[in-house]
Amino acid sequence: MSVMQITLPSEVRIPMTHGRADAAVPVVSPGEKVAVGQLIARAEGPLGVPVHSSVSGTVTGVQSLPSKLGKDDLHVIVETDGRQTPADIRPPVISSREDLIRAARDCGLVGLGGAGYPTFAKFENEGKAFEHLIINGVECEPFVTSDHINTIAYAKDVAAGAALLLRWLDIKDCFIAVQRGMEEAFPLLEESCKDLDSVRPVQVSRIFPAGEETALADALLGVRTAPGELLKDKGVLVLNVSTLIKLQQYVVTGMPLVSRTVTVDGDALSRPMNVEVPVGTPVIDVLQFCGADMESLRKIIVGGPMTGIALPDTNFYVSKTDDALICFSAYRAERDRETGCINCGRCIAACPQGLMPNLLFKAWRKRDEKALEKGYLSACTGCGCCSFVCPARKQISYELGLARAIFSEPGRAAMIEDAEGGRDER
Amino acid sequence: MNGKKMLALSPAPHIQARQDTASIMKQVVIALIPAQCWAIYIFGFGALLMTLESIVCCVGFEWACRRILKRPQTAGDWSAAVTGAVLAMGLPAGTPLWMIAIGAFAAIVVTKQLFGGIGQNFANPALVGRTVLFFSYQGRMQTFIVTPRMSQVMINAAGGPNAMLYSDAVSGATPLALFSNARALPSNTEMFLGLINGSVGEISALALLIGGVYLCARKIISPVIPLSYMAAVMVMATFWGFDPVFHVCAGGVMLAAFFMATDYTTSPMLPAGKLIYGIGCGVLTMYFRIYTSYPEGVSTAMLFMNLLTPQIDRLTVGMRMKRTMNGRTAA
Repeated sequence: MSVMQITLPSEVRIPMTHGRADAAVPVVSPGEKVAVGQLIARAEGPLGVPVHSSVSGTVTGVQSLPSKLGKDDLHVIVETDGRQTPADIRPPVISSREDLIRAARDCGLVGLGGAGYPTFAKFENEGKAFEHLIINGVECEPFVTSDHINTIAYAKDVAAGAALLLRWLDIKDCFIAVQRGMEEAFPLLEESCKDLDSVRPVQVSRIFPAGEETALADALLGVRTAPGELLKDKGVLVLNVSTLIKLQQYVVTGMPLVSRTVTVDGDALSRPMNVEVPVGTPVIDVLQFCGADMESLRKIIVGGPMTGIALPDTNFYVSKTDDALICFSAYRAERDRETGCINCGRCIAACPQGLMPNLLFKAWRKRDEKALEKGYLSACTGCGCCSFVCPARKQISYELGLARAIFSEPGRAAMIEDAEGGRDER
Repeated sequence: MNGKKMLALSPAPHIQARQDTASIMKQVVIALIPAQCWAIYIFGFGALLMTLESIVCCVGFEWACRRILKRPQTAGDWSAAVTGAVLAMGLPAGTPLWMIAIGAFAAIVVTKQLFGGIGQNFANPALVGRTVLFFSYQGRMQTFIVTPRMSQVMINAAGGPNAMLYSDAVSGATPLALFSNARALPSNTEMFLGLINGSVGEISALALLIGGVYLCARKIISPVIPLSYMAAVMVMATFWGFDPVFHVCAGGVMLAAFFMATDYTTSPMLPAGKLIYGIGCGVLTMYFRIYTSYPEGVSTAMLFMNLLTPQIDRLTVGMRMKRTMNGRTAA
């Protein structure tokens, strides 16, 4: 298995919002020529990162298009010229913590594991120091293998990147975590890290959500977080392995983040693949390149099947955070109809946060804000384990997500009660 | 091949575990097959007929209730079939159809559907069905037919082999009745294998154990309740100076431990709660056996613990949330 370079699309539509970064502001206008790696949008806002052109060609428009999260987002449309001329790029000089943070920002880097938190902001940590570093190569979502394949291809970059972070962020020890069963990646990591005393590759559970930050910190360092506590407050920095590789490559070559590895898998596909895709490539181009069966295709999931987003149609464009495109046929696309809770307790046993999903779910259906608060709804990470195991096929995780969104704002609960009461009266 | 193709939309996760309610319930019915086969061996095909009648009654009542109440149809989810099978297992051989129907009515209509259907019942439906029959038809419910395949002790207790020559159905006593009257008891091997008298499905500890181990292996039930239930019965029996093996194998302990006490809806949800519940069932079973006028105490003990389940849950959930708050996740 190796990463294939996708056929260059005739046009890319590069989103300005990636993951949790603030939207970048386009600095190019239609008609302008751009090269690969050229800045096309500057960072704006406290969590802003710049966006670079992933192709060489001509800007044909700046347009507001729907993003995968349902909001409108500006996209810079570039018609490719097929030459992929690189821009005038220079590797950054790093001689301090600030330099490293700036490099992470100039690279346009956000977490490539899916959540997409801007890497520079993670490093900044409001000026507080870190004690431990965990490089997260535990790709526990089913189907997704893009981190795994990158770890194999760039094991040396992983080691070099870890050394870079240890040096400039002044961290003493580092774990590189991969899941058990990665028989190819683990020895390669051990080999590349053998000269680094403080960097230790380790194997952890492969059961979802083993790769979730708090689960990793618990398994490797014994650091446990109570609901509401953050790992960074406890001096633990967790960074996705592909993110680290891109950072290391930027530091060496100066080429910012313009493409990423995407796993394309699912039962509407004859062969799973990992492809290197320029940011902004239309989803349909990726699927066609990978030979997806468009007739039987009934569902496209961006990200893994446990936490990913289902797309309403194929008019979307690959962003920096899209680690996978899962294509399901009708057979796997539908979830069974919800039935009554039988109190089996599977969701309780499955919850990695130690919550009581069944009780939270019942409290949410009754709009019982007090019970939700008492049950630490805020500690729910939305991992989806409860929904996955539920034999009554309740969408527990999703509904608790709604509950979090609504009850996190004071006063909203009363509003909803009023609105629902009003509807009942009619 | 256009971008307008309509795709399925749903929230994450986009995959689901294989086990759903119907498949879980089906496994429970499958786990009762060894006990059913043994019942056929001892009592003849009448035992199978009883189970089928009971299942048909329960599923029929479930279907009719959902239909009349205009609720989503749940007759196909196998939960009523489980109730039917477990109910039949707890009845003496030769129970007539009309009695089974009354038991099924009490189980499905009164205990389950009038409280909101699956997952809403306050007590195990099959247990209530059996208890209603037991207190309504004490004579018939305590009439146990002796068959030639049972052990010599059982046949002697019914008047010996000669008594059986002159009549099709000779009623005898269960081991617990013999125990109450301080008479000769079958050996522990006979008790364990099930060469004894009793309700059709509860006589063979071995057959029930096979079914129970199957359910544990398939992760349908947690072993905490059956183990703590049986352990409590054995400890209590020893404490009062009786044979612990006899008391685990006698009466409905094995059937209740694996197939009634493990009912999701009426047992506690956390492992700590399950432990309390199992021990409670065991202690009360032995208490009722020894200190009440009825030879058997399983049904009463379990009803008692069913009603305590919400309180056990409150206690253990509070303990668990305290642990979660302190940053000790369960994983």
